[in-house]
Parts: sequence; C-alpha cells; structure tokens
Amino acid sequence: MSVKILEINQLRFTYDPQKPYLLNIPSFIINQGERVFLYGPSGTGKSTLLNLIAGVLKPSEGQILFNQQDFSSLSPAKRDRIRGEKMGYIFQSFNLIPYLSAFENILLPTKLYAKGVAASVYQNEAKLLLEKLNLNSVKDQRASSLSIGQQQRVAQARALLTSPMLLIADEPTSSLDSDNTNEFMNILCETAEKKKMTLLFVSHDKRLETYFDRSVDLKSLNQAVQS
Amino acid sequence: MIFYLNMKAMKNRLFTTLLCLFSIALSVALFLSVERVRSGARDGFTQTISQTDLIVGARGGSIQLLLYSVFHIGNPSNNIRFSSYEKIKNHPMVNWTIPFSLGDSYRGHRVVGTSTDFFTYYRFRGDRQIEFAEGSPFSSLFEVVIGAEVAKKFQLKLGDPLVLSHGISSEAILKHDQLPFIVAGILTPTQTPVDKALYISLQGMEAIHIGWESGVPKAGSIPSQDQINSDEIKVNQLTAFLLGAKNRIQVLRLRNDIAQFSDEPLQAVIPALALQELWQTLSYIEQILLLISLCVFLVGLTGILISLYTSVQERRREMAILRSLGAGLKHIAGLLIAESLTLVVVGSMLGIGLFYLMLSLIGPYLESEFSLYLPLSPLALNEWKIIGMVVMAGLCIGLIPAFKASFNSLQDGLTQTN
Repeated sequence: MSVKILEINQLRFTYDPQKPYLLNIPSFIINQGERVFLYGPSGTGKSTLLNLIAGVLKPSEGQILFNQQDFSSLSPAKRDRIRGEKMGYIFQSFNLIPYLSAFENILLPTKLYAKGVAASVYQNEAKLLLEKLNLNSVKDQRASSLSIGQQQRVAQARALLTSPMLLIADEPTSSLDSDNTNEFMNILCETAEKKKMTLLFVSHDKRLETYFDRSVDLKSLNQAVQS
Repeated sequence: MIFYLNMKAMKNRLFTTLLCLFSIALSVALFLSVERVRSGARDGFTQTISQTDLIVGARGGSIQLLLYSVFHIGNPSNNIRFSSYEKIKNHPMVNWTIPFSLGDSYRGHRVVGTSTDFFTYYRFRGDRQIEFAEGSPFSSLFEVVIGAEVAKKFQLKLGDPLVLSHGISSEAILKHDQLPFIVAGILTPTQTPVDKALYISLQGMEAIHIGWESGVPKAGSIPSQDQINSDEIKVNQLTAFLLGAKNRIQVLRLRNDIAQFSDEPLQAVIPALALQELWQTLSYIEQILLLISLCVFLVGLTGILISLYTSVQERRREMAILRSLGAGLKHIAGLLIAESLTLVVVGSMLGIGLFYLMLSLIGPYLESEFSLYLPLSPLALNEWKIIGMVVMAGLCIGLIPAFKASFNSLQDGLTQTN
C-alpha cells in the first residue's frame, strides 16, 4: 500500500465569493515516489491550484492534505516552514536572487531553516549538483550574469538540494530550447528517482508527458471549467 | 541567519544605499546644527559674564543695570559715589571688585574706565579670562586697552594714538582731542561685549574730564598731559561695579546689605538671574529657532522615511523569492527591519560625524563673524533623544514593507509569470 503525499478532497476555490468557483476538484491523489505530469494550458486554474497546494492560498471548501496533514488548518508560520522544509519549487521565471552567486543561490534554502544537517553536508551536495549540472565554471558568478539555461539549472539545483518530499515544477522548461529541455528533464527525473522524490510537473507542453509515470489533464480534473 | 543577505543586497544597490545614507546623514547633521545654534545662542548670551556674584549700581531696573554695565547698552540712571564703592569694597564678605566708569566713547564704541582688577577677575563663559593678544594692561593715565573687534574694525596697532569723544553716541561732536590715548594692549576675542569696548584707568577717565565740570570744556581750563599729575587725581564717582564674594553662600546677605546701604540708594543684581530674566524677554528668538529646528526635523524625517521606504521597497521581489523558498514572516520582517535599522543607525552616525566636521570647520568662522560660540562638546541629552527618534522612525518604516510583504509577496513570488 503506497503512502499518499498529496490528497485533495472536494476542493473548491474562488477568489471572489460572488463569482462561480474557479476550481472544483472532487478528488486528486499523488502517492509517494510518483512522478505526475499535470497538463494545463493557461486559463485552466493551474497557477491557482499550485498556490493552494503550496499553502499560499486557502481553499474555499474542501481539504488539501500534504503528508497526511490538513495543510489549510495550520498557521501561516507552520505552512511557511513546511513549504521551506518539505517542498521544492521550480518556477518558469527562475526566481534567483540576482546579486548572489550561483553557489549562494543554491544554498539559500538551507539558510532559512536548520534541518539538523550540517552546513558542510549541503556544501558537498551542492558541489556535486554543480558538477552534474555543468555549472562548476560559473559557480561564483552572479546569478544575473548567467545565461537562461544556466539560470534554470541553478534553480533546479536549488530545488533538489534539500531533497524535498514533493517537488513542484511550474512550467520550468518554457524558456528553454529543446536541447536544454531534454537535459533538464533527464537530470530532474534521474534525481527524483535516486532520492525517491515525488514530482508534480505542470506544463502545457504535451511532448514532456513521456518522462512521467502518470499524466493528468487539469481540464478533466477540474469540474468547474467544464461549463 | 540570513542577514548576510542584507550586506550583499546593500552592496548590490550601492548607489541607492549611499544616497539613502547620505540623505539620513544630512538630515541628522542639519538638525543637530540648528539645535546647537539654538542652545549656543542661549548659552552664549547667558554666559556673557560669569563668576561675578553681584553687579552693583544706582537703584533702578535690574535689567537696565545689566544692560549698561555688561552689554554697554543704554545709559545709567545715576552714578554712585566712590566712597560708597570703597565702603562696600572693604566689606568683610567681599573678595574682589571691578569698578566701571562709563560715559565716553571712541567712534561709537564705549570707553570703560576701570581698574586693572578687570583683567584679573573678569570671567565669562565659565572660567574664561581676559587675555591679551598683544601688549599689556594700562599702566599710565593715557594708555588704553582695546577689545578685539575695535582693533580689527579700526586697524589699530600697539602704540597708535586715539582721541576719545565725550558722550556715547557715534556722532559725538565734543572730543578729548587735547589728551589723546596710546594703545597699550589689544585683547583676544571673547565673543562678548568686551570685544567692542575700550578700557582705560579710572584716573585716566577722570583726567580727561578736568575742566569739563559744566558738561562742556571751559576754554583755557583743559590742562596738557604734562600738567596732570596722576597722584593728584581723585576719582569721585563710578557708574557701577562688579563684585565677587568670598563665599557664595553670603551673596544674598551681601545683596541685602547693599540694598539697605544708608549713604545712597544702591541696588545689587545677581547677574545669572538678570541674564535669565533678560533672555526670557528675548525668548521669542529661541522659540523661532525651536520652530525652525522642528521644521528641519520634520522635513529631514520625511526624507529619511521616503528614502528608507524606497530602499526597502526595491527588495520586494527578493522577499517574494525567499517567501517561496519557505521564508516565514519572521525572516522577511527581520531582513527588512534589519536593513532599515542598519541604514538609519549608520546614517545617523555619519550625520553625527558630519555635524562635528562642520562644527570644527565653520565654528571658528561663526565665532569670529557672528559672536556665536558653538562648543565642540559631546551630544547633549536632547540631541541624543532626536537621534533616538530618528532610529525609532527608521524601525517603524521598516515594519510597513515587512507587513505588506507578508501579504503580497507570497502571491507575487509563486506565480511570477514574467
């Protein structure tokens, strides 16, 4: 019996109570170690769903359980902490701190919460990731001076470093060319496998489906858009 | 913690950071300057004369006595007898006296007849003493010691002859031109009315008025310098005198004794009280300065708040990124408050430095040109209070973006779509 990492029950959400629901998801479950591709063209409530999963937004109705814990009933500080410790995020825009070096950006999440892991462990891990992602030569350069591909790989390394339980990737490849995309996907899947990470990958690019165990169409998931 | 981010962030925005620091430093320095001018004006005024326990003169208003004896403004109502002076001088409680005889002038500047005790006992601004830039006290009848401003204004040197005028207006027609004086000493600047006066001996004052008993010179009765024998001159009256008691505790008793002096009506005034009283009548000056310094403070504070807010606001996106990496409110608030606090503390310190730099550069100029003495003393309590208020304000302004960031950036950071 596999462990549920994410469980959504009767989730309904709207920004404005006067308007119809933006999201209406009766049920959505991701098990531990699963790699899920969520197909979602823009306008299907994809970003809203990710914000809900990350605990940034609170559901209007229903429940989101992360690691068997009702996320929305926790205090903001606890949600921040869980997001920092147990979740990893890769964005379409890479969200690097421009004036920090590549290496410093990668280590940034480890500075926020002490996770009982020595700094040197993370340093070594980060060096391995730099090696693997072919970033060694630009390790000490400011993030703002890196190429798009390099920036995305730094963001990837940052998300992978702390071995999050759930790694959420939001259109991470949309600004990469096809070579970079393939390389990115290979490293992502390889690391997820090795570290037994659960992966939720959101994209409008159907071609990437092949990298995943399971593919879900947000349109079929979200009953609200059907109208 | 993640405060190393602040240092890097500030270094990254070096220009903005410097601009912000500069604006804080300038406001703080400006405010401290205005505040120091305000207290300097008051202290300079109330310390025009010090260590003198009583000023004694003919009965009248106490401020009037202070004005004509110390500030050389206005006219005495009456003279006092020299015999009265001598009686009080020999009072057992009296330590020293400085007699003043007024009435003549030199091109609009008061001539003061006094004794050499003036150079020994006169004190101003705490315990500062009369000092000679050149020369020495008068030692003969027709020698004069001149204040620094008089020397500068009329380009007078040691040995220069000068003719005194009868009366105190600058247009005095009657001159003591048969009995010119020789400059024997030039005093160092004091930033008090001493600079504007000339000092001769009481006997000299008496000598130039021989033959003037009717108020105008009687033809043929003015002696030449050779005819005057200093031993024969008898001083009959004085305008006022300063007095130092042997013991401070006795001052009030001494004042009562003088007030009840039987030979003629006298009054004794405690200079510190009279100065305070006089300053009260001029308090609107201080109030205006206070208003100016309040305005400077408000304008400065607004500037500080704007530059701090802008500086912190620039980091919103950065805060959003940190939020998405799991940074909580305490991290964000900590970072933003630490940044504004750093800026405001460093800025204030620079401002204090700038203030002392300005004070040491411009201070001497203000002292010589405007007689405004601004001491290079440590910050006073109310000046520290102002710095404290600036820092508190900086802290508060850091809280506003921190508060906003806790709501906004959560969204911004996670759903950034170019």
